[in-house]
Amino acid sequence: MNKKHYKRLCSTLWVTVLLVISAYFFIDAISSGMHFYADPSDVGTRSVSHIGGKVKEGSIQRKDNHYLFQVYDQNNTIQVSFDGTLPPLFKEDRMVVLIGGMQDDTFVAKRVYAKHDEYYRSGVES
Amino acid sequence: MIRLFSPQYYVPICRFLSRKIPKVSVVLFVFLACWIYQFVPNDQVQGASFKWIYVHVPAAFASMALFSCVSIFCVLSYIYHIKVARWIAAICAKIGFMCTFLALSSGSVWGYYTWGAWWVWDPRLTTELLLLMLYAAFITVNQAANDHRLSHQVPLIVSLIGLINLPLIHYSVVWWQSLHQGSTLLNMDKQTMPWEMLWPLLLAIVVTALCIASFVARSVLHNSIKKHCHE
Repeated sequence: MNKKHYKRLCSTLWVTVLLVISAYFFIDAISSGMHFYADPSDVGTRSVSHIGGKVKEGSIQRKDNHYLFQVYDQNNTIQVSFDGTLPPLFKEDRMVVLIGGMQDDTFVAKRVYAKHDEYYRSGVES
Repeated sequence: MIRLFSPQYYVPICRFLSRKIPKVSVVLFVFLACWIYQFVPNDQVQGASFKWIYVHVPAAFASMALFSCVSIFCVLSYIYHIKVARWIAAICAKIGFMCTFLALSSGSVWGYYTWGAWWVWDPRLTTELLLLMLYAAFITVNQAANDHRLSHQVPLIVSLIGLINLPLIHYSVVWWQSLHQGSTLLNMDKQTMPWEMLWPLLLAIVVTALCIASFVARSVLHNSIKKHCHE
């Protein structure tokens, strides 16, 4: 490696270091807004439009296309109402992400997405 | 190391890769397709739609690996002024763009059957879309630099910006709450996947890597012949 190569290597490293530092500040600034959903516990503390939690067992009530169910985490349970078709993976005790808004004590969901985890198991569910 | 970039070394390597590897990978691909279609069991939760993982994960891995290749070869070509490194960076960017597009589109079909949506503005999906745009930016800027309309330092800086995006894509499901599931392959100590599902996935990643290596080798040979014919 001669002197020219060394100089160009140093300038590349300098640019990389500057980019990493600026990226750190950028990510630090946007980090709190990058969450796709909030927990049910956050509902009382601030206004949220995306909620993710588990569907409570035995809470699903259906009237035609109108659904009522409850979503919970460790600290809070929320009543949800939804008009429309639910995704095929929607089930009790599974994660869902809801988009909508609070009206009085119920969360009126415009969209419901089913969330699955990174675990895969072979066979048919019992 | 740098000597590898002289024609007496890279031409035989590229010849081997572009002649033998395509035949091997076609055989492996047919074998793999039959295996996945016939012998891989369905997932308990997602059923048959989980088999999109065999397209989605290799494509996503390749999209990230190829961008790091783009950056590394860009830096090499900037420091040592090696033409071959520039050719490799250019072809890696083109293949990487296709892989990113494939990862996004296969992911959106998979997402439609599991989440119930083609697209959401989830951190993982957004950063991957950013990678697609960075690939497009790199290809454009690199083309302009090859036509002597721009300095070669511009594609270098674009590739370094893209390099910063890579850990962001990987950690987007760790740092932030997202609809996208966490990493399966890099969490193997937690038994995320049984071996009967995992083997075909690892083989799919190997086949993808072989295909990409042969494409890159073919492109390097093509460029080298073009250059020597002009001289």
